[in-house]
Amino acid sequence: MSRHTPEDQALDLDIEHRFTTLDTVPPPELWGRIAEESSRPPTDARWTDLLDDPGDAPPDAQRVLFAAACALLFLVGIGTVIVAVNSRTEPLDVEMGPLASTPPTTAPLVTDPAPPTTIATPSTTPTTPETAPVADPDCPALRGAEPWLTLFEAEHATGCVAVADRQDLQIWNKGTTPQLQIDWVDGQRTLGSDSFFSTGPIGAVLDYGDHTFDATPYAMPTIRVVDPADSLTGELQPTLGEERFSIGGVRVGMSLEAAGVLLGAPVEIDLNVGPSGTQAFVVGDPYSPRFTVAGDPPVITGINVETGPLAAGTTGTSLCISSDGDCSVLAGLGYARELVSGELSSLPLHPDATISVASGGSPDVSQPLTDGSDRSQWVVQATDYAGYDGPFDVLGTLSGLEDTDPADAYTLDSGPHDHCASPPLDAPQSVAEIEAIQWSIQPVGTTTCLQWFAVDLFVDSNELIRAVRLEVWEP
Amino acid sequence: MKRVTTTDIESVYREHHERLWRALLAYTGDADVASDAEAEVFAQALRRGEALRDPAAWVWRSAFLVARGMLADRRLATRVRTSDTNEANRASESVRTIEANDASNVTVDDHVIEMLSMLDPLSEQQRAAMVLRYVGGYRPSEIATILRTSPGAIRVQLHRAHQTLRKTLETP
Repeated sequence: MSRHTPEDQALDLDIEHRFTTLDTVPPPELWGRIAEESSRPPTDARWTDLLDDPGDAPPDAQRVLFAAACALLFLVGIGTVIVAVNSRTEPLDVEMGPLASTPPTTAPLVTDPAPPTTIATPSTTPTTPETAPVADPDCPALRGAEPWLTLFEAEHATGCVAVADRQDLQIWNKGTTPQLQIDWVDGQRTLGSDSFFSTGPIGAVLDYGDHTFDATPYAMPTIRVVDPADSLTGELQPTLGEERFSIGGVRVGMSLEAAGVLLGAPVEIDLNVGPSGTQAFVVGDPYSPRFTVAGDPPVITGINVETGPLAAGTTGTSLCISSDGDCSVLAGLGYARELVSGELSSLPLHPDATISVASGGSPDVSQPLTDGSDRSQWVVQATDYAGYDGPFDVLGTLSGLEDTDPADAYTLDSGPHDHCASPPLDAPQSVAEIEAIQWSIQPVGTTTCLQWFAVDLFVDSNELIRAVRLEVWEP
Repeated sequence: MKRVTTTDIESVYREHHERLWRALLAYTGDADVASDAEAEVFAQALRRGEALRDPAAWVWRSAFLVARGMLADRRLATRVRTSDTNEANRASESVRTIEANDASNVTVDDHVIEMLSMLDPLSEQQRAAMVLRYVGGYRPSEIATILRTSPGAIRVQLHRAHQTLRKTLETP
C-alpha cells in the first residue's frame, strides 16, 4: 500500500508543471502537407491497414459493424422462423447458450418478498400466437439449478411455484422465527432463522403435479412439479452429444420476437444472467433453457433488484422482511435511482454519514458526507490509493462519466456481496456497531476486476443512510 | 447523420493540431515522428471522409496508433543499421531527443529536452497515459477510449507513472 504524502503532492504538481514546458514548442504547420498527401494514394499501406483493422476502428464504426452483424443474425433468425413455421419437423441448425440446469452465474433467485424487479425497462414479452400451456401467472416458475424458496410470512405471496424435475430447491427460513417447522415428505424439518434445507432433484422426491405441505408459523406455497410433456421446452431438452446446443430451432443471435414465435411462447430477457441482458427464457416454463438473443439489451439504465442474505454486520431483522413486504426494496431502488442519475433530491442522510473508498488491501479512506446535494462531498479525496490515481468520484463512477466504464445496467443487491475475486469486505467502522442493511449497486457485465466496482449503502433502522462506500479492486 | 466534409476535418485540425502534435511529441520524443504521424492520420481522415462520424476522436486514437508503429519502425531500423553498441546507444538517444535541425525545423529549449528525458523510464503505455492526461487534457475514461483499454487500467498506469516520476525527480 502507498500513501499520498504532502511531498508526493508537491512532486505531482512539479510533474504536471513540467508538461507545460511543451507549450513553448511551436508546432509546425502541417495542413498543406496533409492536403497534398490526401490527394495521393497512400505511400505506406501499413498505416492504412492498421487503421482499417476492425479492432482499431473508431467506436462509431464498431457500432455500425455490430449493428450490421446483428441485422444479419436477425435476418438469419427470421429465415429460420419461416422455415420452422412452415415445417416444424425439419431439423434446424441451431446453437444454444447455457441451459437452465447449469448453475446460476449470479445469486440464486429469491421468490419473495422481492422477486426480481426492473425499473425503466420496456416490455420485452412478444406477442405470440398462443399461450404457453405451462405459463400460469398464479404459479410462477422458478429458474436456475438451485432456486430459492423463501418462507417468511403467514400467507405466501403467490401460493404456488412451478418447478422442473431436475431442480434442487433450497427452502429457506427468512423470517425472524428461530423455529420454522415444515412437514416434508420424509418427516418434519426444523429450520432456524436464515437457514435452509436442500430438497435434492425434486423429480426424485415428488411426482408430477401439485403438492402441499404444512408449515408453521409461515406458509409454504404449493409446489407444482411440471411434467416435461406439459412443458413447451421440456421435450426439447438436449441430450449430451451432437444435439447438446440445439433446441427447437432457437439459435444464438435470434431476435426475441423470432424466438418467441418459434417456441410458441412468451420469451423474456433474464436480467440476472449476462452478458448484458441478452439471455432469454420462456416465461412460466421451469424447463426453459436460457438462450442468447440478438439486438441491444432492453435495459439501458435499468436496475435489477435481487435480495440475498441480509443485514451486513448486524444480527437484526432485515428491513426487507416486514409486513408490507418490499417496502425497503423500493427504498433501495429509490436510492439507486438517485445515485445513478446523479439527481440527489431526497437521499436521507444521517448527520454522521460518511463516504469512503475501500479496496480490502488498503485501509479505507473515509470522509464526512453531511450534505448529499453538495456534489463535491461525493468525491473521496484519496489522491493515491490502492494502486489507482485518485480522487474517487462516487457519482461519476456510477454515471459512467468519470474514470470508469459506463455501465448499461446495474444490479441492486442487499447484504454482503463478494469483492471481486475475494470474500465480502467488513462493514465500515462507522456502522460496525449498529443495525444496518447493506445495499450494493454493481455494474452488469464487467469482465475484469479492473472494470468492477460496487457502491454500497448502509441504511439504519430509521432508513437513514449511515455510510456510502465505493469498493474497488486493488491491482 | 451529418456527413463529414473536408471543411469539418480542417476544423478538427485547427482545433486539435497544437495539442495533438505536442502530445505526440511528448509520447514519441521525436518531432519528426509527431509530424509524420499526425499528417498521416489527417490525410487518411480526408480520404475516408464521411466514413468517420467523430473525426476528432478517430484522429486522436489513430495518431497514437500510427506513432507507436512509427516508433517501432525506427527502433528496428536503428538495430539493423548499428552493430556497434555505442553507436546504438547514440542512435537510441537521438530518438528520445529533439534535434534542432530536424526535418520539422522545430527548435526547443533545454527545459523541454529535460521534460522529455524525464519520461524515459516510463513504459510506452504509461507514457501515453500521462501525455494524454497532461498534454491532451483528457480524463482517464477518455484516455481509455483513445488507447483502447479500460479506465481502471489507465488509472493504474497513471498511478505507476506518478510513482516512477516521483522517484526520478527525488533522485539528485
